[in-house]
Amino acid sequence: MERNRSVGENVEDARLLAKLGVMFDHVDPVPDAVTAGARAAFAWRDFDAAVARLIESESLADAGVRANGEHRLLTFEAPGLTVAVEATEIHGARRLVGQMVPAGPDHVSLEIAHRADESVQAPVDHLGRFTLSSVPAGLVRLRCSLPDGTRVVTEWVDT
Amino acid sequence: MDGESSTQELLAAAVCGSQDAWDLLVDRYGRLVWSIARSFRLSDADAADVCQTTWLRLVEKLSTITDPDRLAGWLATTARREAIRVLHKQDREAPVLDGADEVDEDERHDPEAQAIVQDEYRELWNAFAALSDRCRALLRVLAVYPMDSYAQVSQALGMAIGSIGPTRARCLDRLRAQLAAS
Repeated sequence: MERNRSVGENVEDARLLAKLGVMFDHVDPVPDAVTAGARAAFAWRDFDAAVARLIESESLADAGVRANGEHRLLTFEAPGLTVAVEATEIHGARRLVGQMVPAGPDHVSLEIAHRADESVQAPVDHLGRFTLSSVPAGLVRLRCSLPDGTRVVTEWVDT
Repeated sequence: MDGESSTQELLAAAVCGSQDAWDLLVDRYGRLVWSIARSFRLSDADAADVCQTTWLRLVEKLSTITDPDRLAGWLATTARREAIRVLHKQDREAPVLDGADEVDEDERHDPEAQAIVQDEYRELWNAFAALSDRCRALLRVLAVYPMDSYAQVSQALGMAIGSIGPTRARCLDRLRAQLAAS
């Protein structure tokens, strides 16, 4: 069946595609910084942690609050934990105000994708609320531990 | 473990914490991920971010990827979703890959088209740059990462499986026509 034929079966087409491939390697290769970033990503592995998936991301930028900068509501969900975060950007600085349901973790860590060796911590109150100020632009995620010891990390998000 | 190791071996070793295995996976699939990011109209910085996010997501998912044959498709799909998300964030439009093949006037502003090209490749590059978004996206991915089946290409590019063969043939014909005209 035509559509199941292996891609590149036609010799001339395969040759032209190969020429294109060589050209891309010379003209627009993967930048070294991109390869370095991809390799460094491995440092963030934590295969035992539960990942809280982003299940909702609502931008309120068009709801009359644009004067205060971008404003988003993010909801993450893992088995046994929901984290709702309100992200506000004012003059380039980001602030995250969040709540964990159910309450339980006594602190939350902010991990910053391009700073593998540091994290910012904030206390979580008895209602599960927390505030993180001066969150940098770019990919970040939250980490906490449930009372039973389960580690939870959120998906990476650009707040 | 080296470049000859199977993807399955590399995945298994990476799950056990081998940075070397991970680096080999990056070597093997880095061009594919970059090519997907490049087939959207993203700045260099945004294309780099799309790649970074894609690899971070793979780290998250690594222990759940059991079928090595699906890794290329998974990476491509993830990169594509991230690229579309970045484009939405910028309030700009993603190329409609199932749309018409017309060349867009905005082509000139594409960072990809502005790369400084060595003489040796200029003719081929210019011919490629003159193609439609759809053709460029398809040919670029096929050129840097030959996929085993149209099903993988379909998944990677979000194109209907039945249209890939004809589109590929048409895009290559157009590339030849451009080369002949130059």
